[in-house]
Amino acid sequence: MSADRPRARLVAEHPSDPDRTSGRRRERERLATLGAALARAIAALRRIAGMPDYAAHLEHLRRCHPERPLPTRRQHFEEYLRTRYEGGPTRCC
Amino acid sequence: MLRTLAWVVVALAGAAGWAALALHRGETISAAWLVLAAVATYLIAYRFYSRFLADTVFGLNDRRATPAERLANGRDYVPTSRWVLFGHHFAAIAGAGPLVGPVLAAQFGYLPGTIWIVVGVVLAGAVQDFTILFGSMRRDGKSLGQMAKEETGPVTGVLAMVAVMAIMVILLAVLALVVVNALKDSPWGVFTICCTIPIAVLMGFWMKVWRPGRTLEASAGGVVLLMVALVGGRYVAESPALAPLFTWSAPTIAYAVIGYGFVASVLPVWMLLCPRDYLSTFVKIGTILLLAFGILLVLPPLKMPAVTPFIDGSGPLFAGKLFPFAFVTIACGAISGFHALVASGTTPKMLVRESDARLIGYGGMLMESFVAVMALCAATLLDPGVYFAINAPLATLGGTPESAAAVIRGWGFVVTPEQITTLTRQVGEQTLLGRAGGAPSLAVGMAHILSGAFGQGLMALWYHFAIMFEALFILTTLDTGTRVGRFMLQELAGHLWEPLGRTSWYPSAVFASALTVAAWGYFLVQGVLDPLGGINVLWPLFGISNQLLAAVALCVATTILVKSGKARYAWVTLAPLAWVLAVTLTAGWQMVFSDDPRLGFLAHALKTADQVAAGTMAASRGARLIFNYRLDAALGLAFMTVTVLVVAASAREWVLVLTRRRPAVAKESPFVETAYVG
Repeated sequence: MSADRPRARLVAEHPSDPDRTSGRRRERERLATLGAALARAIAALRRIAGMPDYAAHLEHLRRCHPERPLPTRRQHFEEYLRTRYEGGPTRCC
Repeated sequence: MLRTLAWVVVALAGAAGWAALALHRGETISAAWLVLAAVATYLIAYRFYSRFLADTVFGLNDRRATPAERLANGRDYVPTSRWVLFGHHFAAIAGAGPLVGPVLAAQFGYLPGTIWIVVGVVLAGAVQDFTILFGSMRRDGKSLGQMAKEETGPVTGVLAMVAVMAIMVILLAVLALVVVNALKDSPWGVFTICCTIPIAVLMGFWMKVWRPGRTLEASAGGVVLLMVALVGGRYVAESPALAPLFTWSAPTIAYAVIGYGFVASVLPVWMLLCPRDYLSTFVKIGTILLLAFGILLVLPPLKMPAVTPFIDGSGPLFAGKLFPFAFVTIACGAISGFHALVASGTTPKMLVRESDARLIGYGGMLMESFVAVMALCAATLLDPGVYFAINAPLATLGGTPESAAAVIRGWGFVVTPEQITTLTRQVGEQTLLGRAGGAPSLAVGMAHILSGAFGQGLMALWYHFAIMFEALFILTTLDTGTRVGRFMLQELAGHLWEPLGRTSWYPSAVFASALTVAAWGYFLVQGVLDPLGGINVLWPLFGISNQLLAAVALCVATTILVKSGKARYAWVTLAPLAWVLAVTLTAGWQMVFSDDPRLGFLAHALKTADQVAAGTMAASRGARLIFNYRLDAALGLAFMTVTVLVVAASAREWVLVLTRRRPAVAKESPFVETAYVG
């Protein structure tokens, strides 16, 4: 397997930094990283099960079609349902 | 240097595994050897053969923008990171096939199945999936049928469509039959599965009406409710008032499944189909991980002999000799034509870079093969006597544990009536005899593994968990499959009369759904009424049709290679094509024309006619059986004809290109440089 992707690495703590404020900041940063990791995990679960990803769709629309109005979550879901189950098989034997 | 050393270790480990399998002729053998041989072979095949395919044969190029990048629309064309896409692709290809086939083929012993699953996937199945994924990726994610049409001509395209429809009908019928045999006279199982319908509807309202788009929330709630229903099933089974309500005979369940398929196809998708789809995906992935964990933890001894006497064609589960029937019975897990539809469906539209196709196309199929190996372990860890008691037809076994034990002892396997009754009580059933189809014996095997891994005493719960898991995703294949059949039919009917082609026109939807359900429902009901259980006919027929679809896919793959100027590497698809054709045409021919009435449809029809003439069978029943055997024969012939036509049309194309009478131009989308860095 190729190791062409950068891996997230834990940054070693600086030994001479007992400062509490910076400790708290680190705590916050760690929480933020944890939250981001959780969001990524949830997005991955959605994608694996073939579920709609509203946030990703909004981001795509903002980036590529800024002129179009953004759909509501409900509109997006209904559009997804229309396309997902019409067409070829999505499941195997 | 270190890497080379690591690969030498992997190779030696694999060799040790295979040597143990080959040389061991004792009482039992640990599943560890089987797992070791399989995993080491996968690793080596992935590292070396799939790299050869990716670099030398296909010339995957990461500077070339994929459809997901060029056509990104945030919906189906979505660049997806490769491990997530691997999960998505695996969830789409792995179904009941790799679980049922190896269990049925265990009647030949564990060795033939193991060899075919591992060698087949490396040289045939994974190559097919990878090549089709590659072809579709280079063609904006076109489907197998469209590629066949563009590369080999419109006739091949139509034939491929017909083949897909026919295989769908047989697939749905046989899978439904597996569910029927698993749930008949089982109040616990029926209750749990019945509960999945209101649970799905509840999920549907949650994500459509109450909290639009919150699919993950709804699924989490659904999984919890499902577990409650599973535990509640025990209460129902033990309650004298409720148990009779949920104790259904095989024909009742068959008609219920048919009705369900119809309703699911005409209802709006959000109400039933979509929530069940999510539910079954999560349960499937969770259970497969659980099973892998259990097998690796317990490493159970395999009690089935390496090779049984039934390789001569006298097996009770299905007739036919080791060649070709072991290779037809195990289709999914070694090579499955159906995958070509998924590999040319959603997956190619999500690849970020071309080289990812290797992990997803080739690696995804290796993973499915591993599921098949696990299913084989679960079936062969049972005492062979117990295995045959569960899987042989009731007509052969007689209705009681005593008669079954006597018959099975006659085959040379030791089993006592007490063993059968104890096991039946342990798993909380009324009877386990004659539950052909693979699901119940797999569930017993899984219950052994999981109760071994997670503590004894929950045998019944694990058994019904396994039954629920199989029935759940088989029924999901059934409803999505019926819907796909409905759309195909509407597309075809639209050519005859335009309004019929409008998928959202209600009368057309009802009409096409009814026709699709009637097609597979007919084979299901005949299978249920068949004295030999129906699986013996339908499963080999499904295996043949699935592998003939694989032959079609390999033809398309070869055409793509030949036309892209890679003819000298065409053997990578031609070799598996030759093997698949040899296996399936032999099997198909024998099933239609064999003189042995247990095997040949026409011979069986003749024998039935004799029985009617001799007065040993009622005329009406005889007429029905004769009609069905002839129908099966016609179907087998039709499958073979379609395939031979596709092969001939493709071969003509190859010769034309190779003799330079036709330009070697593949209809790939033009090269566009990727905008991604690195």
